[in-house]
Amino acid sequence: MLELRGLARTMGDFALNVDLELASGAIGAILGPSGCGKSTLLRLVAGLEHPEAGSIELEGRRLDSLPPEARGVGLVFQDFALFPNMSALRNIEYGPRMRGEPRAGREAKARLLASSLGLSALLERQPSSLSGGEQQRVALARTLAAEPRLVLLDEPLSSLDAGLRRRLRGEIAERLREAGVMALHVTHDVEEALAIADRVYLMENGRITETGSPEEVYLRPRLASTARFVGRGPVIPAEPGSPGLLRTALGDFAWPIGVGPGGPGRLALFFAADAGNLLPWAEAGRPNTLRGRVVSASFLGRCRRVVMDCGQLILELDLDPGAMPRRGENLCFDIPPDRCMLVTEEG
Amino acid sequence: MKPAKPDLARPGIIGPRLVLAAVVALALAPVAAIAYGSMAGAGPGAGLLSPFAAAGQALTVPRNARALAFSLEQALMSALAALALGLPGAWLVAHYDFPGRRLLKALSAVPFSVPPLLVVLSFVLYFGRSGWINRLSMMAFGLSEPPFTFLYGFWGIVLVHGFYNFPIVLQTVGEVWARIPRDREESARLLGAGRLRAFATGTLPSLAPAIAQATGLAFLFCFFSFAVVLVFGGLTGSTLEVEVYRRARIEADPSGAAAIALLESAVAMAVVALIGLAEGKNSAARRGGTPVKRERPAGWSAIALLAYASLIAVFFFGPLAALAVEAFTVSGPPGEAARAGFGNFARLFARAGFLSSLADTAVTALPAAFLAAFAGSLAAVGMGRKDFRGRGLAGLPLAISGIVAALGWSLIFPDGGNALVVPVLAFTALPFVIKSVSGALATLEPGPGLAARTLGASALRATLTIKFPAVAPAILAAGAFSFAISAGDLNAPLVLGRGSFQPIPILMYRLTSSYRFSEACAAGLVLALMTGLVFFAKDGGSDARA
Repeated sequence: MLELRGLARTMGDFALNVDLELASGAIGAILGPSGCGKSTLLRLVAGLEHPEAGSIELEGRRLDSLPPEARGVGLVFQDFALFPNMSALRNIEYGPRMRGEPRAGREAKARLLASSLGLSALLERQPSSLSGGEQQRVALARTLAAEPRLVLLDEPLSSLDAGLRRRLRGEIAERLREAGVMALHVTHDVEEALAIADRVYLMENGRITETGSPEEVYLRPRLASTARFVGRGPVIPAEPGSPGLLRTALGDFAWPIGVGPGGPGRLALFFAADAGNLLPWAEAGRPNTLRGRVVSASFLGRCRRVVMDCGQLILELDLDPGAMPRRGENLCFDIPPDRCMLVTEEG
Repeated sequence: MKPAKPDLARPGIIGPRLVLAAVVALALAPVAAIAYGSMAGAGPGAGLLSPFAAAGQALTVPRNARALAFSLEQALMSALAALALGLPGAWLVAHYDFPGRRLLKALSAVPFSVPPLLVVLSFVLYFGRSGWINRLSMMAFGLSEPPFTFLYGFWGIVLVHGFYNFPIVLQTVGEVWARIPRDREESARLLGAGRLRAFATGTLPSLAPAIAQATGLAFLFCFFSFAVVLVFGGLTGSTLEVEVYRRARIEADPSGAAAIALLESAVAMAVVALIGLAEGKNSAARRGGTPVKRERPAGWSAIALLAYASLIAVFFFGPLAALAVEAFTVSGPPGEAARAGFGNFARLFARAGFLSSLADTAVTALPAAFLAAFAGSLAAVGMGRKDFRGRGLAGLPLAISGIVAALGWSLIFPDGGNALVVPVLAFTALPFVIKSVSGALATLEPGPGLAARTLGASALRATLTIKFPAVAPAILAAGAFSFAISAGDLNAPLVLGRGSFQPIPILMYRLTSSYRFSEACAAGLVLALMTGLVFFAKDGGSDARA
């Protein structure tokens, strides 16, 4: 198990303060906008920067006072950081070499890892002659060859193009699970985090705001900020109205009995963008209805996304791809109570 | 968010300020020794300021005032000439791909590593009274008198200096020019600026610091020029550098030498400060982006390239060719035609003392190169990659000329003898080593070093296996450079040399003075060969590693 307790670091007016737990053998994804402190967090865990307070414990062992080489923590760098003066093979066997393993053994280990990552033909090449995806695989192999107890991945796919990114993220997760090693993966890409991780940590302004399984944070977020970042649908500020109803600027909404707000703080209404059903205009004004004017509509393949001017708010809703709304047309939607969720604005 | 500078990426081993203080002290020591010597010479009761009063007083002596004026004037004209010759080249190498482009960029090593005496010799053989150009014109136009006689005067000095130093401008400015994104100029054009205006808005602001830096450096080298002025300036004028030498070693006037040396160093320090300012602005510009794509020259750019190439061929490679040809030209007895052969080399090697000349060069230049590479690398690593206030002071040794350094250190160690040549040469090469290694450290990516730590390498092993190999080529190159500077240096052995100590530049100087040009050229080629061997050994090392 990895446990971070009150891990703190300030840089100018930015303050990082993190508590986090990750089960042994699990893959965690830290998800947040750029500048939220995710990379700094990884560097603290790796020992490349020093915390001002707090503790780092990995499988019961305190790491925070150890130098990076003694932590058993591997880091796959965003720009790969391959050693330019060494071939791919020498890069991969660097970790075993530092542990003093005999040459034959560490080479065999490196070749085995390389073949599982499809690198066998490239081992004698210099890093500068490898493509981005190949460099990325060498970097992963190099990290795994050192047999760390924890692998940290710092946006390892961000410099690759979209297709390769999708392919490699599956491959990375598979290799990590195969090696049975726990990993902490940092990204700002929601889909990537959901696809790779057992547990997702939302991070904002230097703090972990919400933690859960990928399904939980996507389908049932607790916080409005999580719902906004994940981007599944609109988040509308709300307050308690007459019993059983939420009052919003767009009208009153009922939500499933018994499902209360996730925590303290101001409330907000959240529903998936495709939760709405079109209603005849005459139905407008009932609870759980929305109405507005179509500002624009774009065809996204699996749906048609309309931007609606609802008077107080601009909302994005997804319609059936076959629907053909016109610009300026007035539409009315019904959001069934069982699709409505309550989230809280923190603080 | 910008991540905080990683604690482990900074290789500052010793306190950066301490290292800087040592470099500054090393630079100021010879000047201080000269000032102290002149104070002691002024007799008891002389105040601390008396050396500077003496330096000020020296200006009222017409000969000194003339020397200062001449130094400044020729340095200014020479620097402008270097700028005029270098800028078109900078534009060409930044924007076009053509055969010889790498050669043109590589010429930037010339001002530092080709001994000035060799350059002087080659220009004499090419533009001199009976040089190639004059003989050719006399033959072509049936003249009885050589038409070009400008070489032995002010404009001769400017010509030699201009062609000697233009590669500094070409390299420094070209490197920056290549990285200035062209879209800045293009957007200025699209917003209605004319060609010139767009250049002034989009490109010139980023280019100006580089131009100032390179021109300043050329100015400084010409201001310190010794061998060129010693040979060509005899009738027209004399620079402060030559005057210091004359007073100290020929006219036995130590207090006069001291006053002029202080004057010269004061001017040089002001120039170095200006260069430092420009460099600070320039390095900010250089950090930006990757080089833009280069095109093949076509149309008028091809014509410009051709014109420039011809200019460089005639004025730069021509003299060097004359030098090489002269070395292999054996003049027979009177009445017989000269022929090609190795006779000059045979005569040179048969000279009593030539082999010891070779040995003198080797035993001073090699240790000097090692010392400079070691001390300079240590200083660069010690100062680390952090920018801190006062870092620009590391360039201070540049403001101490070869003659002043030699004179100052000989006052500090009056019994140093010939051995003193080694540290003085190393001192001369020091700023170049610091600059080269600091540059390599600045471009060192922090990632690989940190990655090594996460893979189980201790700080020391990460440095040895990852960081050092990345910087080693720069250290080797700086060492080879230091060897070239040391092996070709005339100033230090001329001031410090005692007895039969006669490294090759001194031998060349004596051969040139007695008009034995062919042998002097042969000696110059042997020197060039030695330097070439060192560079070859350095490159061989890096090839083996790759």
